[in-house]
Amino acid sequence: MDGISSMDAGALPVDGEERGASLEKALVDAALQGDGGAFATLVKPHLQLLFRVAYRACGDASLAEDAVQETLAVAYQGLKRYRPGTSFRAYLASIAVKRAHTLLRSELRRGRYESGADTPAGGLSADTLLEADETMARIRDALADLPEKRRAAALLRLDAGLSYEEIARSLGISQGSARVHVHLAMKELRARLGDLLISRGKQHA
Amino acid sequence: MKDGRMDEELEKSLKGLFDETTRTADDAALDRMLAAALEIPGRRRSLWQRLLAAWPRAGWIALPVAAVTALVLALGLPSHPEDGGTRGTPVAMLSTSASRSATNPGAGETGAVQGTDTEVAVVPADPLAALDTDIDPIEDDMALLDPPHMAFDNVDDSVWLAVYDEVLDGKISL
Repeated sequence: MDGISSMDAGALPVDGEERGASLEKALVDAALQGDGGAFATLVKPHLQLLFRVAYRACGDASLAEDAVQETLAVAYQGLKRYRPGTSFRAYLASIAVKRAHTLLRSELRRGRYESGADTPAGGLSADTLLEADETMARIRDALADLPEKRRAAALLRLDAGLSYEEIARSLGISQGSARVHVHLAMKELRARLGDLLISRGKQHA
Repeated sequence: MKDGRMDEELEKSLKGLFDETTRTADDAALDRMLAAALEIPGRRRSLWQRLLAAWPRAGWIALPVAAVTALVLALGLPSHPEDGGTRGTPVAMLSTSASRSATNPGAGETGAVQGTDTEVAVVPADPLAALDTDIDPIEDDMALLDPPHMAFDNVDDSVWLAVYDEVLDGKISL
């Protein structure tokens, strides 16, 4: 790895900054020329976010990992269509949401999916883990019942932390529509998860 | 204004709930994912192998046959059964030019694989544009085949094919 591809991923600048855009463009150009290191530099800062979004969408760590890998493949294939400076994070996150759902559907159809089959993290009691798994499953079920765009908007806002502008760009809709999708999604999530929100509020009071 | 404030509070609560239940990948998993990103040229080859494994002999026969079919369709000759023609085109050969004919689906349309009931949907390769098509491979229980141009150099890269997994499992005869 040398030249631009050897740049520290953490040094990648924030989207929207002029200097950041030119640096990002240089990395994109290098990646398009086959520089794997440049592509790695581009995606590395976003891997954890992609995993988080993918895991939320499918609820399975190995499936989420597959989704992230496929997201990277799709992102690479579509890199020539990406416009530097328009939020690489949003570009990746929107692909990850779609890929995770596609993979989950595929697994469900084949009957190979077992919810909650992940190895639990160490240091937590069985009760705590069970409760966390149940909460996770309820959130996932509530999200799954949302219409696709609303679900994607909710994931991109609540898990990926995208701005409305980024969500709008990701979903190919106006910012106003993005706000509406997020608003409606949150209302439906409140209706489904209201008890969890209340108990959480009491715990943090 | 009141609604806006309520939205902010609700969003804050939901974000908190999401944060508490999120999972993170460990460093080893991140390394694996990154390694996969760096091995994309290798993925292209494995896709070849995957598709060729699914269509061991038929694929080689289908390619020239379908190329001719696509040419015939482009010339506007009848191809639908009702018109006295054949139905559909092998999945691997659906290209943008062919997809604009009557029987071969274009972006946002659906069709069937020749001689089978296997449904095929074509969605834009651009994942952002794909979100805007009426076809929802997920809701329709379909799987997105990797962009065909990753496996077939002569297929336009502006469309993705969404097909049932049975296609990949080699359960169709072309």
